[in-house]
Amino acid sequence: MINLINNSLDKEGYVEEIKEIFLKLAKEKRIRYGELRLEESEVTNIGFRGKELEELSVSKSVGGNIRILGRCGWGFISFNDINTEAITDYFEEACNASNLITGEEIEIEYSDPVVDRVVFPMGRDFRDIPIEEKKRLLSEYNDIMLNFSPKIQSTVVRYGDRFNKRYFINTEGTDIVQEKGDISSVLIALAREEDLIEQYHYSTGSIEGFQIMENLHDKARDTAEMAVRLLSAPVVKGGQYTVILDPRLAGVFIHEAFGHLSEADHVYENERLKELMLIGKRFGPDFLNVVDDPTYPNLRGSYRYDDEGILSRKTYLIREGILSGRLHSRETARKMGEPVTGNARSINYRFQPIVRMSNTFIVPGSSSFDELISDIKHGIYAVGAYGGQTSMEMFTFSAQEGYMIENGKIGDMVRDVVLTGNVFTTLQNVEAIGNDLQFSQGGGCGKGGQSPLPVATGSPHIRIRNVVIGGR
Amino acid sequence: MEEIIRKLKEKSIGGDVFFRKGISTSVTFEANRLKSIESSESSGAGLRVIVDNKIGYASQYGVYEADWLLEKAIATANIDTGLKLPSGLKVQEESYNEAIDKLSVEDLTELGKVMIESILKSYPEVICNVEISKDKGETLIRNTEGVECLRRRASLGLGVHVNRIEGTDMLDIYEGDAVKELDKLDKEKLLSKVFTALEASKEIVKPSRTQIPVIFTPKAVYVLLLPIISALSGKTILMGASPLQDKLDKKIFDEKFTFIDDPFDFDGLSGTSFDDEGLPTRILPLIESGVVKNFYFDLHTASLLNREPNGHGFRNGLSQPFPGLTNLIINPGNSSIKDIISSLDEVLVVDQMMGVGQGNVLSGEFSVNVHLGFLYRKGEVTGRVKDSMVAGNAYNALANILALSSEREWIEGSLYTPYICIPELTVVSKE
Repeated sequence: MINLINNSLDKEGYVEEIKEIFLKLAKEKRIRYGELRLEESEVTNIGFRGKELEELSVSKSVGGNIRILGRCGWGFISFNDINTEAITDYFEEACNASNLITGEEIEIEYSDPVVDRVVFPMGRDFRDIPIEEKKRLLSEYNDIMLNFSPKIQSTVVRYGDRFNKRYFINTEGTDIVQEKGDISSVLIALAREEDLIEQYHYSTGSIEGFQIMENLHDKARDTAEMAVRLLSAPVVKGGQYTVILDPRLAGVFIHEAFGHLSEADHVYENERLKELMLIGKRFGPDFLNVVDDPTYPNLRGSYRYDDEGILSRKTYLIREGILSGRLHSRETARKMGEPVTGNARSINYRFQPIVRMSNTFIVPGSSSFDELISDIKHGIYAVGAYGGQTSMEMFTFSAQEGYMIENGKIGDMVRDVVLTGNVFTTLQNVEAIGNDLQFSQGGGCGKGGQSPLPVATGSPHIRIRNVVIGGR
Repeated sequence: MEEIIRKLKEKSIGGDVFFRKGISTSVTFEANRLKSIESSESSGAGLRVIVDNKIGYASQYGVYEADWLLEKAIATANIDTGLKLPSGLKVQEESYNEAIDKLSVEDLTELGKVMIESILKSYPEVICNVEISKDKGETLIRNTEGVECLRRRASLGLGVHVNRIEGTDMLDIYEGDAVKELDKLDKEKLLSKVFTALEASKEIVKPSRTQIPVIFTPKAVYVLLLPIISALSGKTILMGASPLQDKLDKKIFDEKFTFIDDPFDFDGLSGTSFDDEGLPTRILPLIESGVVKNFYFDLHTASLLNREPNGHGFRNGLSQPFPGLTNLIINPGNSSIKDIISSLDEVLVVDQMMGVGQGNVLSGEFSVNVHLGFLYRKGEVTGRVKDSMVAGNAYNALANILALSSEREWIEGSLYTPYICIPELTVVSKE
């Protein structure tokens, strides 16, 4: 038995030995399809709350999983005690689990074997930067917010970086190693006037390296300013409005309004939903194009291979208003008779891959912001994003701030702007699409208990009529 | 762990080690049939050190290495603190239920099949997704002051999602239960809730006006509690950002509203006699008859605020401790839910929402989509309300409660609450 020395997979020949055991067992047991994944990651977290340093910690993790396709379903085991003896036990357990599932046989799409090593390069590699320097920079942003105004009551600053190395092999002969660094960070300012407390945040993230954390001084100042301005903004009056969404909110909108419904695992075994989601069906105006693209360079949802070892590719979800594709795993693609798309992802080794988005965006159109707003008599310009949620048919998404639009002009600020829509009507109500595509990378996506998954959302400004906004 | 404690003592550094181990088995049914069987084993340790009144922290998932944890925790010691590690508590707490422990994968599968068959028998047109999981966890805390606390817990969770599509209308019902004793699992009650919702959803209706009484079912009460839970946390107090900051012993809420954290409630899944820092827990009244009674703290937050710690330092996985709660209990009212509904000309009963927590939670403002809600007129259900938003302020709502039901339900084994009826909220529907 070989044990991990210093609890790292990075030991000459060690991963190779585990792989060999797995492949030998798979051959002996005549496994139809099986996967082995091993993973290690290192994390640094730094946080301030008000003037206090709240968090400064490091963490590391090693683990793996085995997934085996039985005749009628999947057996899966995850573990973080890795040694050559245990791998045999884990294999047996996953194999037995897969054999317990009976009923209707399932099939998956197979692919040609791939042997590859993918390293996403970072500009400034955060692993080379002393924790003191990271802390100093964050402390600068924190001080800018704290000192902005006496009305700033407190702040929250959070920063996390994670370097992740994933080994993937399967019984098709695929053998992939992917290495990626991921940063996510948020600056939050809280403003207070008597019992009224308002907050504003700026969130960011990247796989490109630590340089994205530099020069956020203006963002920190703007965040504090917006928190203070919200104190004097009234709560929006509920009702049905024509709205303009800024690129950040429009990105969340398309992620919730249509992205999740494009995930084939919601559809593939639901006959009625399949009928509603037929390829070729119209969902929006002919100038609406929506894309999911993990090959888009250097975004948080970018990757070369998904967690089933499938090469990633760009998928048009909506082309000229028509449903033209959806996101698949090996299993959903086979069941629906559509091509695999490389969208099976899991947040870490403890979870099975499920169908997820990557970088999802509305393709820019031709309208300038002035053209979008000029003929709106009474509406709302909704800016920034707190987040969103969907039940497939209905969805919500909430703005950080709103502005009344009166006779084509931006007017007073309003707060607590939460919008809701229905997939069968709201997309049809998109009236115009701007020309200013921007991506947001500050958020994570949650599905099936797996959260946060790094994704990017993108859009230009867009205009939608008849949107229901909650309010008192 | 002993090795780490010994080495800390050699260096005269105070600290605590937190060890966690979990084993779980789950079965997943997708579209009415068994799709996957999953098991997981994980463990890890977190080390907190206090060097010259500064906290450092390192954690490791997988087989931990004492030297790496020590080196990294000491190297990160930067956070000023006045916390004193507790001393002496030695506890072994076991809440293993043999009946749950004995459940095999086949038993879990059978349970899922029975649930799905019962639903399909009456409603063959629906699609059921079911997940059943059996979890076993072990938590061990030791510190340099002699604390040695061990907690073992097992639980069974059942989640049912029923989907019905008619035309372009999608109905999704989520019901679940989590128990630590097998005989507490009430399948019949869960099924009857699903059936009631399916029956009540035959028609789509709209409220007759925008200002109407709203009842939050136990599943939905959380939207009102979230701002209060945030406002009472020591972290929020520390920031000076709590609307309840200076309201201790003041009556802020309706006198019918009593809200308690009870780590000793037998049916709750979050009960424990010690917190994740090795302090004994205690029953903590948060709101008593509308009066704000207590904030809750971990050791570090309490020290920064110069308050007495109250045994509420909890951890998420291997995170550092933060102020946390155990079993949340809301006192019931006098009338049955049926009587409350019957007493109103028109009332919206909200059961599932979307968008909870997306916004400025601290201010108490909420604005959520009614994902599953029903309109009642004079005690009779008229149908389902959708494409609608209900909005209000949690502070105002809980200051003026029309009624709390006499019935209470456990939600995810951590909140025991009645239905709460608010006399008037704003409901905006699509025209």
